[in-house]
Amino acid sequence: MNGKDVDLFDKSLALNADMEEELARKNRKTDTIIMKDEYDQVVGFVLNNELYGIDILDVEEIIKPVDYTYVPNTKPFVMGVINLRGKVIPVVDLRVRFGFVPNPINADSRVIIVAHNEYNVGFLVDKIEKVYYIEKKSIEPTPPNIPQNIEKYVKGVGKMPKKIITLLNIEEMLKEGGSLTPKTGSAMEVVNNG
Amino acid sequence: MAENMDDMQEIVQDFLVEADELLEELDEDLVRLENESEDEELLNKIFRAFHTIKGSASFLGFEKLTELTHKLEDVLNKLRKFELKLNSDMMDAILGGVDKAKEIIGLIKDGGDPESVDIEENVKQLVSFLDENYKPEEKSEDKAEGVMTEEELVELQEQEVMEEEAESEAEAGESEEEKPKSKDEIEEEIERLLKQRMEEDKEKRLKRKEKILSEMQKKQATESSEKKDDETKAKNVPEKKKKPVMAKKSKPIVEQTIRVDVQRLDDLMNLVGELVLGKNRLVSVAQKADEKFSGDEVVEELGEVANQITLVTTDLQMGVMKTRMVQIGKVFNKFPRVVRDISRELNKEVELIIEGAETELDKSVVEEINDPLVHIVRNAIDHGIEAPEDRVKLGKPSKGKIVLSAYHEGNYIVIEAADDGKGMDPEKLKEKALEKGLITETEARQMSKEEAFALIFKPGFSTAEKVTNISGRGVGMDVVKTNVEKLNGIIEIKSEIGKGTKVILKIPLTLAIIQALLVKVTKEYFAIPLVSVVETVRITKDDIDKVENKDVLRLRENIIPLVYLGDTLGVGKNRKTLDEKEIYVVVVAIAEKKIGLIVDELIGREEIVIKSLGNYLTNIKGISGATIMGDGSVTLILDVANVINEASIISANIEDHLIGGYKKEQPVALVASRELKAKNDLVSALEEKGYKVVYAHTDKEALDLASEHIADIVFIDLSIYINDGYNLAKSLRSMPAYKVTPFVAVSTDGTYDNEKLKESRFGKLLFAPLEKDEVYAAIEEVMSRNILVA
Repeated sequence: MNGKDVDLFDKSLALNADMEEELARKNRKTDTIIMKDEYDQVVGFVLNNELYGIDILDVEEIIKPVDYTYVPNTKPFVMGVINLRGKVIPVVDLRVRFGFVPNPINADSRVIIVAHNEYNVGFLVDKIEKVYYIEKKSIEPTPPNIPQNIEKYVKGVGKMPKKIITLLNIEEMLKEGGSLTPKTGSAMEVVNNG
Repeated sequence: MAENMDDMQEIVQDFLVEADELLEELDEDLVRLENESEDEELLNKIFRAFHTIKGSASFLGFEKLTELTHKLEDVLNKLRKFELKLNSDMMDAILGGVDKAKEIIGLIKDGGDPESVDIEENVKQLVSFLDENYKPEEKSEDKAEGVMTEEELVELQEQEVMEEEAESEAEAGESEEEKPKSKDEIEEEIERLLKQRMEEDKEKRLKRKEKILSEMQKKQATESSEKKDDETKAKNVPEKKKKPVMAKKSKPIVEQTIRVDVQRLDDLMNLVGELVLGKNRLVSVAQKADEKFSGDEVVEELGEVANQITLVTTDLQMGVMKTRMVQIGKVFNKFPRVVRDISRELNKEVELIIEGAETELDKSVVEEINDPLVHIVRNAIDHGIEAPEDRVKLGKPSKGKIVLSAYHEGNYIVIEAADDGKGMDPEKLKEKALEKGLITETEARQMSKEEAFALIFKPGFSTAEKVTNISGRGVGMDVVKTNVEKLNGIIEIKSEIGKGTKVILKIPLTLAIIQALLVKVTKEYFAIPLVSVVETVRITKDDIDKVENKDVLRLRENIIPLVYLGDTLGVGKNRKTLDEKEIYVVVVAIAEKKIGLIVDELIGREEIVIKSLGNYLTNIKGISGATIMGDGSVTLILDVANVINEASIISANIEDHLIGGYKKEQPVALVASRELKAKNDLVSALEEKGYKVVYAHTDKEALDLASEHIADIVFIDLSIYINDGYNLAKSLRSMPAYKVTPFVAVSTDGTYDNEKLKESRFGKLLFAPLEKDEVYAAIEEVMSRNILVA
């Protein structure tokens, strides 16, 4: 392997204990260098007591819930819109989106602001865990035990030494849109698929 | 290489822009030329335009375009030298050529093959005028279209000679009549006269040419001498030189301009929009500070700064808006041509008068306004203006008149298209609509004159007996309506039978920053674009009338349908928010429709910047966008057109929303708390006291519940999400049903702000954990105090 081309993994970024443990183990055993591009960084969050992840490249920022404005004629999971430094951003209650019982906003609630392609949407989640490094080769396709209503939005499952994390397919979730009259929504789909 | 391609592309782009402008002007100039065919300056201008296009086209290798404009140039060259005299056939051929040129340029723009256009016919026509043998016939204007052959020309001349002979004979009087001639003799005579006439004609023509030439020389001579004179005078009286020129030509002096990419202007406008939002926020902060620390020096200074920023921002906004403004003349100038073509086709005589062409409006609006105007003018000529002979019979001048005018009125531009034609008969319109099944008989009977006129905007409605390629398909006016709706504009029609029709369009000046009326419905605020608001009225329950179980309001002579705004947006179900003694109605109008929207509260007028809701929330029914208020909250902007449409299918009545209409068997308590423990304690205590308890976990929920159930007592957890309990109490107090309802505050962490408690008129403060006796005592206390107040 050509040393110059390799972006060395920055250990200081490894925030989770799992990761550090694994690194230590690997270093002890084989002395190999761990490459950054072998790993995906995901923002881990809790929803209905389960761990989910969104690719960190899609996450713009994470905020505490702020006052939102209800928008009529939207799908039930659209809570409303918020003002994020002059930008109007829709917020989706992910619990409702996935068919869980809605949980009132509490001190742990957070909104993950996602920026993907031309979309800017906030997702209300129960709690933010932390940023995880998931080894790419440990990501497996969606196992059959994932509920059907969520399956469509799952990219795969990341296996970490101590737990697993369900990785979400943001694109799929965004392109459906939140309007009850998605006239232009279908056109958008065509564009995305093409 | 690639750079060369780019360069080339740029040159082509420049050419296209220039050609577009030239061709646009040409249309206008050519129509003007028809009436002022002797105007040398105009002829020269047109000649130059063709020449310019030809030059660039040949440089860029557009062969067909070069050939076409070359021929056009040749014809114009002859015209300006007065070797040819303009007639309407020639004009048709020239206009046809211009259209072809436009077509070619369109193709170049769209990346098509500019050489694929067939210009043979046009070139042939044009060349025929250049022919030495072409005889410009003054009378040919009466002839049908098309180019005359030599034979036809001779025939025509013969005819003329005969006519003239007849005239002279008649003039000569009896003497000639007394000596009848034989047939042969007559023919001989004709032959002789014809020859003579032709000779004469030739001579005449020669003479005329000489005359013109000498005149031209004279003119040039005088002009040059004038120039000399002027030059000598110029130093002393510089103004005098300009004046005669100005008087001759009403055209303004060429202004100094630069071309700017529209995208840049849009970006600039967006930035100004952000600035306006910032300014609104600054003003609101300054106000708050003033309320809190009134008299403080720093606060006063802040106020001053806020005022100054407001002034500068307003000026800046106006400035940027002005850079985006274009004169409506850009649209109006196309109409002489449109009117000419349509009236020729329909054999009607129409004079077009344009007023206020210098009125300015936003570029984006101009783009949308063209199509509706074409349809309106078309309609006016086809249906409005009568045939010349009918007009004479009616005692009107045979030439019909269409007046297109524009002027500013507040934040709108008003565009009027008036004709002096036959006007519209509301009864006939109703009949037609009935026939087509567009309305029912009862509807027809109740319809006012204005409503009947508005029928013409229904898709599929047409009074024309036959479908022509000008009108009759019943699409045109629908297009007008859709486009005007898109611009949040209003259409009014005034018509008088026999006198004419006037279509009035009121369009907002700009689409980016607008004035809006803020209203409140249930817990949400909405901004209604002020351009759509006709008026606001306060009514009571008794003012509401019923027509076929629908609520209406009699406002002066009009009957206006009434709906609760919440119902049209689908958020009104079970909401009891209206005080029957004070109901606020916002009368809105879009295109031809008018309706009264009932709201909970009128907040005020504000300048708002329209923001999109983004890609995720596209095409939301009833909402056209959002804006950010001074306090940082998001307010949705109503799509009035959609709301009006929605209103017609709503079955809910206003009574459903009256506070007085809430039926309860037992007293109701509203508990808003995020702490489960506190909530459970309160619920059990209240239920024991005989209350029906409704419970909310967040302030949003609490506001929803408060409008569904009219509570007799409210318990508020001060630390409730998302905003705190003080704000919740404030919001509740602004609802008519909760003006005097006793509020009890619950502090779960021991903290409280006495000032804020007073502000929202809390009757009692409790601390968690709550004891039952405490709660009982609190209820007792606030209830009795309330009775005292009452």
